[in-house]
Amino acid sequence: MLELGELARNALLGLKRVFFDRIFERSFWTWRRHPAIIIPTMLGSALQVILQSIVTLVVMLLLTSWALSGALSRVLVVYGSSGLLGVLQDPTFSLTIVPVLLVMLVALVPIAIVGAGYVYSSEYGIYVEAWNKDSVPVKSVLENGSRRWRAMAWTLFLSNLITWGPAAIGYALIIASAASVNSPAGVIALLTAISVFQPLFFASLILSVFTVYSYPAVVVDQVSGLRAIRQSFRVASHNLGITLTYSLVRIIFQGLLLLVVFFAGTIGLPLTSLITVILSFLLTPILHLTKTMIYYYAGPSIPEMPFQLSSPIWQDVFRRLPRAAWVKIKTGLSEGFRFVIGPGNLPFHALSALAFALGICMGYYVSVNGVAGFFLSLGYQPGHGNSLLANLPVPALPVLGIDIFLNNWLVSIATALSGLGFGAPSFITIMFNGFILGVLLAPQLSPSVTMFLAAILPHGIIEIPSFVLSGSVGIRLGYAAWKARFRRGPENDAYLSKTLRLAVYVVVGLAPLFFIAGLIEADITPWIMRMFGWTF
Amino acid sequence: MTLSDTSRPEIGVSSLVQMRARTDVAVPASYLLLPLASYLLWAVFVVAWWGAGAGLRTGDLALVVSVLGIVGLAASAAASYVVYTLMNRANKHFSRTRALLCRAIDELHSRIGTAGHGALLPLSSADESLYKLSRGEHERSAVMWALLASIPVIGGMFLVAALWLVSRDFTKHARLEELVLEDVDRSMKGNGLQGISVRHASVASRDILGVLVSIVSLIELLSAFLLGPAGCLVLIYLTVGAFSLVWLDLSIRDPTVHFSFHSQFESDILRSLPDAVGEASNVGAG
Repeated sequence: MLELGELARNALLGLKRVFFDRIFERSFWTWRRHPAIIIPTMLGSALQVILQSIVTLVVMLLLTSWALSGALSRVLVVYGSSGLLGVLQDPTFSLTIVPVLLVMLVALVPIAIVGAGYVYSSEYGIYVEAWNKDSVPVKSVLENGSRRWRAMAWTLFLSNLITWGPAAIGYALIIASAASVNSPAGVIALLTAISVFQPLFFASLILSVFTVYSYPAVVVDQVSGLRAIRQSFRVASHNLGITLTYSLVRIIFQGLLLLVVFFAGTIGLPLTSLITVILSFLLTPILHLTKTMIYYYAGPSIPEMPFQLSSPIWQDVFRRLPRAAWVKIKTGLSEGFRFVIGPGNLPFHALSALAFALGICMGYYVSVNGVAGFFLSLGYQPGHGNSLLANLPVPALPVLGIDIFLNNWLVSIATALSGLGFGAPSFITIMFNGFILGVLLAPQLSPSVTMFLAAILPHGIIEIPSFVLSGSVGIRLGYAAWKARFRRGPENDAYLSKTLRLAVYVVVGLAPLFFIAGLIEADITPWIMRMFGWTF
Repeated sequence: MTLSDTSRPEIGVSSLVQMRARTDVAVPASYLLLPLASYLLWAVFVVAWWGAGAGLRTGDLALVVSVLGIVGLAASAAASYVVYTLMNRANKHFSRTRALLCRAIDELHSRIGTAGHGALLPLSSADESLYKLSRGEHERSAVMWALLASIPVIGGMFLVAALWLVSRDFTKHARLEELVLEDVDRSMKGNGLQGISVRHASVASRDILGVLVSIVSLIELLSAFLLGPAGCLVLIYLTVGAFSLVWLDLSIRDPTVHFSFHSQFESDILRSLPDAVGEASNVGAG
């Protein structure tokens, strides 16, 4: 066998090497063969929605309670004149708002750390599995997530503390000294803080290169915390060349994509969502997989990765990948249709619709009781649409439509998968969407119901049911998570895996609907709005 | 969690020889148009950007600059593909050659028992030469160098650096490979097999070009006193860009003779050391 001969000889002569391009290429093909490896990345955005849902719930509840007690207008007046700090310093409101904010922050930090631990445990675990196996089922996402989440959460906390601690200290010094910038001593303190920040930030950047393998270490070597960080330091320092190559490739990829967004933005082409999709679903999984496998092949007992020829990547990206994506979308559409008409799913549809309706009612209530007036005081003109739409060149409108589509689609993916948090985040996110709509529905902000409908219905007739559907599948996912957590049993675990698979397919199937809605919103809705008296 | 490369395929001499069609590929000269377009577009971009107020004010050219920026990025991406192709071709050629020679030497080792110890000395020498070849060659990241070369404006410098490295690596590879081949040839003959046609097929070193571009750039750096910093930078950009285009052309053509030499000696190896394993190792989606 060729490799054994070569490897034995290389090991004997101390010639074992880790090749970046070989690993990178195989990472691409692993990503292509196992689409399930992008689900943890989706879970990452779902985690953000879970965290956001806590904030939005607090905001909605605070606004509603103030509206019920008749204090909302005053709160908004104080907010308008002195900002959030003014509201916090006002004794009338601080008694309510300060404890609520404290509880919210106390809830956010552990949820963020534990959630990220679960997501990264799932992500890096599935990479290792996908590298070696011919098929990776969706249930692996959950199994890997629950296998090492504690170790990963602890490692993540320590790793970030060690890596970004110096930069955070420097930044805190700047913030602290900026408060007293009015005096000459304050200016000197600020300048000192800035000069201290620079080396501290540089130290953080250097540290980030050496702690880059902390998460793979948790999964590959079954270590955690400081041991994982130590392992990462060891591997990075022994393989500095390939570690720097990885870091450089990552930085340049992101930098070039940012440059594309920048240039496109200057001529009115919004590409942010497109770049987010490319980063989230293509580059991040491939680069993280590459990183994991660099760590793996750097192991002393692991033989050198053998020479293999791979099919050309570019041909695959341009010819086969779109076809493969379309096949998944078609499957998603049929799964979504079955989900919609399934009688067993009616309670979830009803709950999601209820969340949306409840949100509209709450939004409308707080709007007529003060929020609408606040918006008017800020200069909002009823019947006047977003002037950015009028300023965009006509060829940019389809691009705007695609940007809206991708943004809404990403939100719907995150909404559906955030249901893993026992359904509540999906419910709250849908409710918040209704809340925004309810706020705009107030007569002070909408000159007439006809004008309001002209602005919402053309695209909303597709977009709103699609959002509600993503909420519905999210609530079902929450129900499945609840069953798997509190009624332990293999059948409930299987139900959760099945529902996660369904949720992924449903949101993938929603893509064409959001695409149509996005194009309508950018190209047709403004035109209809003008017909019904809107100005831009 | 433990990992195992259970799916590692067995690659025989014939498979490795067959892979030549995919590793030792000719890069079309028309590919030169891509870096040329990138070079010209970024030159125009810099001039237009300067004309539009260098980002300090909103000039009439602002829209043109942005459009040029987007088109320039697309051209840079295309140019970086050429860099990737050249570097990847070198990597794949080196790796395949090492694997092929390693397989041939393994095969010869296994035959020594039947042919006697007369061939042991050249075979040990072949082992040593192969070690030197393996240790002396670098598989540089084509992905990283392609990305570096795609950085607007300053990417030209990375392009020159990448081409310099490719040229040096090819020259070194040809020299070290020849030593292994001579030993393999002697081992084969010692084993009673038909030898291989070893001839000098070096790849030209382009160090002189690298030294030249460095010296010219340094001299142009001094022109800052005469032309100002902007003029000096433009001059360096134009020089490095022009050199990189010439070098690209040379890098596309340089290995052709070496590849044709491979086609000869690989046929000889295959004739002398045929194997039954014909399954090529391949990674892909179908």
